[in-house]
Amino acid sequence: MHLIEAQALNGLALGAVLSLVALGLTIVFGLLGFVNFAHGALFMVGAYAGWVVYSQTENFFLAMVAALVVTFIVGLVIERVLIRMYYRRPPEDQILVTYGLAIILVEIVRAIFTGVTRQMPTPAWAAGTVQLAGIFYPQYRLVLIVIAAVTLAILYVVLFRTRIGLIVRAGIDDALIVNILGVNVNRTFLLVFALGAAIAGFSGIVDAPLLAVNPDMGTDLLVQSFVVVVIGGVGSFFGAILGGLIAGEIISLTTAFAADYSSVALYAAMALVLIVRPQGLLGVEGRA
Amino acid sequence: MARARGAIVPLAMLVFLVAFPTLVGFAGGGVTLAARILVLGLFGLGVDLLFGFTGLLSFGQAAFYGTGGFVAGYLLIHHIVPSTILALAIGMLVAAVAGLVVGSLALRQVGVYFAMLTLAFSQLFYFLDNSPLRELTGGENGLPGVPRAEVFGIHFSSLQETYAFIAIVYFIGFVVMRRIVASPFGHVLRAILDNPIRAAAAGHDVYRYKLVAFTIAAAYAGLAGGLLGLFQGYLPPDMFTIDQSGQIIVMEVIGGPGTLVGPLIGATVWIYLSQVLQNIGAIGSLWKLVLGLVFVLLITGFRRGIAGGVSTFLQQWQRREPAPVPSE
Amino acid sequence: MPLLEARSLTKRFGGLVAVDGVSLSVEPLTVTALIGPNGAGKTTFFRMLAGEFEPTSGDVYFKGERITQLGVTRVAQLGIAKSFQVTQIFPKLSVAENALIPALAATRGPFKLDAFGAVSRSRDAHAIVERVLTQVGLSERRAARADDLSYGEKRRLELALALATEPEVLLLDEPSAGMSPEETRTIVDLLGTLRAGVTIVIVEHDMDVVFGLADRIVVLQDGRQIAEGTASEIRANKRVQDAYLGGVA
Repeated sequence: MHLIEAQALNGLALGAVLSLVALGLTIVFGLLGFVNFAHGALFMVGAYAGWVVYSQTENFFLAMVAALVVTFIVGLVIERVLIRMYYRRPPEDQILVTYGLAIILVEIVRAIFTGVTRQMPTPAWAAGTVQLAGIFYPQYRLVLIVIAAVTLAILYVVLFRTRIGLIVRAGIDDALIVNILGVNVNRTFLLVFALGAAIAGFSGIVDAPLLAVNPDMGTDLLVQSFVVVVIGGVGSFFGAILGGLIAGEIISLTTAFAADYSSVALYAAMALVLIVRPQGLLGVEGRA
Repeated sequence: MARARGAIVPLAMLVFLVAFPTLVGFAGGGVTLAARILVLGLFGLGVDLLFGFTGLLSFGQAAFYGTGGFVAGYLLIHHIVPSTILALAIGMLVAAVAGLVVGSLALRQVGVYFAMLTLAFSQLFYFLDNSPLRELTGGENGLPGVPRAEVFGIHFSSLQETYAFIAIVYFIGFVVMRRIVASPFGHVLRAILDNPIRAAAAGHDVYRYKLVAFTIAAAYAGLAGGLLGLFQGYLPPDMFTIDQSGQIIVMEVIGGPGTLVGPLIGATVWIYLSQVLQNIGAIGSLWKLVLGLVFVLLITGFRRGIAGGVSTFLQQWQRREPAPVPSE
Repeated sequence: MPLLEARSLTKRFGGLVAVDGVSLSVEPLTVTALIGPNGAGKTTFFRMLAGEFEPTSGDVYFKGERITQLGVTRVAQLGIAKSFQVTQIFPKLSVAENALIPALAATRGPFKLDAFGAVSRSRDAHAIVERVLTQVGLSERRAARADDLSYGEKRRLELALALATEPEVLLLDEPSAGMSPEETRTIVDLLGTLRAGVTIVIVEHDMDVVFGLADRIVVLQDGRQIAEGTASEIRANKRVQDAYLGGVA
């Protein structure tokens, strides 16, 4: 019975994507102090940007670059036009405005591309299956795990080994200190927001071959990445990864045993973490 | 005197409810549209208690809307409960209990965490409805065949009569909610909205007040869900979706938080944009984009929504004072 | 038996020790002042007394009962009220509604489901509102929105909110912060009349206020207690002069 192994690998692939999406969410939340409810919509925008480029060029690498660039620019624009007015407003307003933004992004995409579901083909070089310990496994899923792992490693280096990373992490602890240090907070916020958007968009394109590309594809991902953040702990780099992997495995393994309960189990796990350890598995107490 | 003045708003509401289908008719809608708006308005009364009066932004109210609707609908379809009122009441009660459970967990957190948790818990309900419980709920197909209302032998069988039934329930819901927000209990909720730290320091058990507000809002959502089944004759599974939760929040904010009638106004705007714009060929499909833009504009510039804006205008017009500078 | 007692309270924030083993014993109907340079731990100590912070170690007793982990709401219900250093009022409510909120807590308890009750029937609560607004001199401004008050008026409303819980112990965190000398005198006069009915613990920087009101003074520095005594004893204390008073005078 190799189903379990296959599902565990599926869980790893799903978890890798969830980690990535949740990390984008956590970075933005950590520094700017609010949850971006448009994060799922940016995931979707990234998938569309990549799909358009791929259908013109059939080059998956270009598609990834396009998703990154487009969502990074969209992030820059959104921050300058709207988000910066909201840093000093109550969290409820911040949630509402990003929710409104999500509606706008989804509807713009729907207006341009209609609501028809598109297929993002698996890149030819990763299309087949590979034999892995006696099971045939879709090659792209393995590629996806590698891509996500590499991206997470790059983000780790950026966040923990560079000056901008120092500022971001200091900002997660105390935005005031960053201010006092005389850092150009304005520009830092702009870049971090756009980086969060680009991470969402990048996740969107690399996950697209496994999903149906349509304007509403970001909604489920948004909620699942909330769950990841709650499980892993807000503001924690490794919390996002741990939470993502746990969530991915819960969904995949429950699918193997009791498919009806796969999503239910995920939310039940979240409730459990919340009761036992409200700050999340790797979260620090008292951060809200 | 105070008593007479206190009756003015309910009387005005009564007149409005009688005239509403006609007003909707002038604008090219039907009684179905009017009924749909009232159902959402009732749903929104609870959301307003939660967000407009207590400051709790829940993105999971659809869970209770769906729960109340499906419980009441199931009982009526299978003739388990003969009385419409009893079925609605049971649906409302089950939704309230669900609210109590979800609230007791989600309210351990505040602000963004609370919003995220309500959203996640409502997804739990959505997936329960869709998969493990689909034998009962019809899964993706929903529940058809909800019979029309019958109370004390009176059949509310036509659409007009069903509207009348819904209007009566809305009116009761409205009057009750007015009473709640004016009570000492309601005053404490408003204090929690304004400054939760001070409300706790003054000696109020903020968590319990929030939990009761959350439960009442869930009960209202459940009752509204039951009414939706009565006039549609069908309960769609999308009652449980995130979009449904978002929709009622958008209506609340567009209409005006803390005004009670805000969600009714917001629902009217939403339904009209969707119905009227949809018939205008070229931009028809863009109605929701327009709505999103209006929504973002309102939050950014006019935090009190349409009803709030009108009441501020009226107050200033009465006092003939210059407009105060917004505090934001 | 002391009315309020702190037994070697310590509060750590990560590696930082904000309050280090401070004890305090407050007799009924006395005025105790807590002084010390900025960062001495006075506000943190106060927040532990009021149940806002749980101490890392040590305990708080009220009338001989341990109240260390009760939380701010139940501590307030027992009869310990705190006024905040940074004004915490209800900005969108009127002055009278502001005072009504703590008055409702005093008359209704921590929670009551009177969702169908009428506020106008809460006579006891309204009586408290009238009394405290008169005490702080805000009766004339009862209908004003709290946000529209002047700074001095907001500080007085802050005091009214603490008084309206009908406390036995009043914890005042710099009640005269940012006030003009004239406004400060009003507050001092008010506290002078209040002291007959309520036990007061006050954190204050204005030494005239402290020496004018306090029966006993406790001096904190770097989270530790360095002196305790009457006004004249503190004035004469060499250590206090070096650490604190010298710098101010």
